[in-house]
Amino acid sequence: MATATAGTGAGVFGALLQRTIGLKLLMAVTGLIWVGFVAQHMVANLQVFMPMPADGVHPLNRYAAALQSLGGLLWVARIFLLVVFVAHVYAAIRLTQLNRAARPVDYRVRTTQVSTFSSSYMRVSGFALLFFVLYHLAHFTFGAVDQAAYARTLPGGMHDVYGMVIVGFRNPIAAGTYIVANVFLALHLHHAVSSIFQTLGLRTPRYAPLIDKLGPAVGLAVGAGNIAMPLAILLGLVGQGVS
Amino acid sequence: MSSSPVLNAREPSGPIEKRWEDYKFHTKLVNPANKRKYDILVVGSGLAGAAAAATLGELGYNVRCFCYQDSPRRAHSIAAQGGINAAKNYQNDGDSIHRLFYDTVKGGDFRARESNVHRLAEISVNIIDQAVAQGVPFGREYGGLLDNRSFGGTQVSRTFYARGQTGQQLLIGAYQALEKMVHAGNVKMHPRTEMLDLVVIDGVARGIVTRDLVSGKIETHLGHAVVLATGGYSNVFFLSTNAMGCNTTAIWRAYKRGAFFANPCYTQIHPTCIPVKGDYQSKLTLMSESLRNIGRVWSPARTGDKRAALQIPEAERDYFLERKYPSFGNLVPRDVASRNAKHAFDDGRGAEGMEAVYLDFRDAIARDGKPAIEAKYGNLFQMYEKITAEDPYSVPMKIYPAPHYTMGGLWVDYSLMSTIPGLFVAGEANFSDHGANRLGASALMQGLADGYFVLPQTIGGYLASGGLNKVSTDHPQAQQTQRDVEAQLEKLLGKRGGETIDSFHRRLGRIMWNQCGMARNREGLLGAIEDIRALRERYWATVSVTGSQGSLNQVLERAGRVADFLELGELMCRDALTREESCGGHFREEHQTAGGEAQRDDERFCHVAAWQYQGDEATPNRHIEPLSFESVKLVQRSYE
Amino acid sequence: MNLTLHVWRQADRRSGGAFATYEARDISEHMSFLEMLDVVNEGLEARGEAPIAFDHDCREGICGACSLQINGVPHGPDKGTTTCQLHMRSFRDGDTLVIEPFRAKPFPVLRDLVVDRGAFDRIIEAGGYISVRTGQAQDANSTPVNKQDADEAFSYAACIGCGACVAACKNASASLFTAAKISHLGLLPQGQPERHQRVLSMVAQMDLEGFGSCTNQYECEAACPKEISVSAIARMNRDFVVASLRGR
Repeated sequence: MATATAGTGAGVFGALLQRTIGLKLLMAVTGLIWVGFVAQHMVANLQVFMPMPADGVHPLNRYAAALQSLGGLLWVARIFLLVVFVAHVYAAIRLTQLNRAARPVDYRVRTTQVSTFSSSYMRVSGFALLFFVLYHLAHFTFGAVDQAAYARTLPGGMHDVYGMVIVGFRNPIAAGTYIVANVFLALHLHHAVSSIFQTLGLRTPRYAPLIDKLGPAVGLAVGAGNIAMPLAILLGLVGQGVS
Repeated sequence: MSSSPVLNAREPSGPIEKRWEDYKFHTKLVNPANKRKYDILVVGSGLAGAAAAATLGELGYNVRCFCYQDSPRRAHSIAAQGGINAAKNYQNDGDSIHRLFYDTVKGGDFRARESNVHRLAEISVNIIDQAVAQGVPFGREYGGLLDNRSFGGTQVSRTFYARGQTGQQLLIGAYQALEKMVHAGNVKMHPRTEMLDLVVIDGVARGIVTRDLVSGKIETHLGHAVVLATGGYSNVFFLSTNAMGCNTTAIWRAYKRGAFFANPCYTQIHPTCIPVKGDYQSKLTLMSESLRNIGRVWSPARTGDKRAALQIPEAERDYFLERKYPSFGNLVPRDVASRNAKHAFDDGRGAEGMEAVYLDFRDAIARDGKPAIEAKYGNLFQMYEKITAEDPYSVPMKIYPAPHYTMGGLWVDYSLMSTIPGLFVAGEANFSDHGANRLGASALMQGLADGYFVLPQTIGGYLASGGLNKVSTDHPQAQQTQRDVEAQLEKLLGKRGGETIDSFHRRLGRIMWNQCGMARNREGLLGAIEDIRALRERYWATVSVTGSQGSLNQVLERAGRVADFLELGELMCRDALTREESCGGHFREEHQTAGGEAQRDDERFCHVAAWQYQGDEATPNRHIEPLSFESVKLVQRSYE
Repeated sequence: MNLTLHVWRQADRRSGGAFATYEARDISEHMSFLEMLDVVNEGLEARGEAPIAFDHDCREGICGACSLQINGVPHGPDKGTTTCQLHMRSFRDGDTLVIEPFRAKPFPVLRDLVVDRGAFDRIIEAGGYISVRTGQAQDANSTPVNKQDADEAFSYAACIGCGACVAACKNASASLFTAAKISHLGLLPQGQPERHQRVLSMVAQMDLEGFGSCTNQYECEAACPKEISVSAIARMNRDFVVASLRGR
């Protein structure tokens, strides 16, 4: 019977991916990276709530410019996140195939006792997030949705990200899409974050109660933070000065 | 009724402490390279069977192991609750191999073979070492060392336990060792396969005929030795603490092929079971004897007192075991406890007027606190509550005696070989070590001793003696045996009489319980023999067996087992009738002391009775193996 | 009480199956669930019909033979209870019960409600043991075991191998079963030498049998009649990572 083989890093990695636990680990590690990115992304974007300083260059624009100045490194980060994302989706698809095959004849009645709503719909929320990420990239990274807003610049030639965001979210359809997507994100994280600890073997009895609260907490915080931005802009509470 | 030359126990002679060592030294050995040429068939995968199959596999023999369950891990050894005895003397309370030996001989009311019991006591210490090395999670003290509890019939704490699931943990240990050997290719496992006959060729056991319980396929398996580790026959009573599938078929068919059946009437009625409710009840559930460590047994002091337990004031409670047996108190052996409970409710002093007495934990909870009790016995309390919907922490348990274990079984010599050469019998299936009453926590000990340590030695000696030629399934005696099995199945499947198998089993159980249960007498036994014969005749006339041979058919499985019980019941009554004395679990009302204790008759009955089959309707022959006691003094058993 | 039962009937492994409806009449609330089925079966037998086949043996909640998905829950509605220990007082007069076999690809139905759980034996066979030859062991008290570890090991060793964890899981995962054995042996000093090889071999066999992956929903823990904690699964995952990285 097959067992994992010793040897190179690639050998270990390949052997890991032959096992459902290995795929779950891939899912957990890639998920964790994205949780980190999403949280960082949200915190940075919350700068949109900061008042416009006297010099007329909004902190969000400074931040965006700083990111752009990273140049090649930015692309390294983007490609890394993309690869991680693809790996996450791959693990999800592969596990779904295996899991479907594990029960070819379903029950007439299956009653769950402790499953959370979020855990039962990970595939749905995951798919929704996949489409949202594509939309989001098209919207703000590649400017495919609203080219005029994307092309905004400040007098000094600096890219006006702040203005782009404000204008973008004044569109109720765009803002609504973001709000709905972040409900899915909150749901996804609600199960995912605690689940990562279990998969990585860190959910020990002593810390289990805490870890089980962490997922819902992170989901709620990230969801609420991300929803606050389009909502506030749509309601005209932020960015009144932008025309 | 004279001593018969065929019943030679082949015990080694010399000082009792040296006999097993001598035996091992004088036994021929099989060369390691030759072991794989020998095929050994092990029937049953409980403690004795799994341990034997695993160990024989380790030694290099080619083993095939059979069980009727879907996995060897489910054999009924798994249900043993309280513990396993061993003369480790970890408590420094005066225990020794000799004391365990003595307690076991005395507990069995001096009806066991000394040499076997001493060997059991010697091996007991190795069993604990083996189990711990396998990862059996025995209860431990805070210092990390093993803990012990007390069981009935002893005044030392020598019982090792894993909460109330000791049997489960020991069986899982043996099962894991077995699975390792399956993986190594030394053992081939045949689950859901029932042995239906023994193949005897030229007077030697050479194989078995089995039915695949899924496909119905009948098959003959041949080998060089056959081990029966198929458990006891308490299910002859219909209601017992045994699993639903426990049956006598393997040993009964071997009996009909010539193996002698020893002491069939020695049955153990366990005092602490949950009482029967309604006629639909399918089995009885045991509450571990270990509860008598902390619980006090009592009944209402006044005849006809039907008040609920909590309404009976202290002064009107009779702690009858403590009163009658001050030195052992609630920890008297099982037969004594059961009989005294029976006296209480026969006398109209049952709990709430039922056939039950109380097992009360009030004092232990007050003394040690509920958490301490919960830690050691929680799962038993929980099980009681699940079944009865009463909380034993606040209301005393109601308990009732129930058939639990059968000390009788196929007769075996010192090497555990039956009267058919090549047929070995281990665990509860043989008669060997417990005499007329088994002490608590000794069944696990015996099963594992037989399986891990005795059989692997003795079978080697048998095989090394040679003389076994090659046989094939074409042999006329093998073919005839298989045809006999097929014919019986066909006969059963033709039955469409309209009465269900269980209805017969229930009727048989009632006869056995009333006439051959806790108390027996001549008149009742004679009547029972007549009744069983009539019931058996009716069975073959009016039973219904639905379904077909070639598929999973649980009706057919039960039909064959009940047919065998209907024959065994008669033999049990016959044995009880001829043993005109009381000893251990066998209580003849005609033979009791003034105080109502079992009165042995060592002049006439200090022997093993072994029955030889003579034909279905013929009276079997009774042979005897005289018992001699050199190391312990034959005395009237007293626990006062 | 009277009940209506919808029971899965299937002749053998290869045949298709379907639900059949039976009336269970005059059932006492003191009966166990299996005794209720006995009553139904005795009626069927008396009429010359094939009774409903189901696995059962000890009827005291320890052998792990009994199974049954009762109204969508393995072993029925009571927590920490096997089907044989489930009593009819947990139901009400007039209830309708759907009774199905445990369903998973590695648990093929053999007849009616009887499934083949041999996959569990093969997982144990792959490494669920501590290798010690009979008679080789040292004195039992020569290796003290911390009481907490011993107790925790016991809590995992309590597994009865019934398959409820697989039956309850959305993915038919055998993680709790496999992890319980890995954790039982991995917590004891005796289990250390084979610890890494054990987890790799058993996990490989679990996958080979075709069980799904863990969902981290913990339905297994909720359904487990011995209430084995999913902490076992975390422990298995941890051991699996370490063993994989060490390459043995």
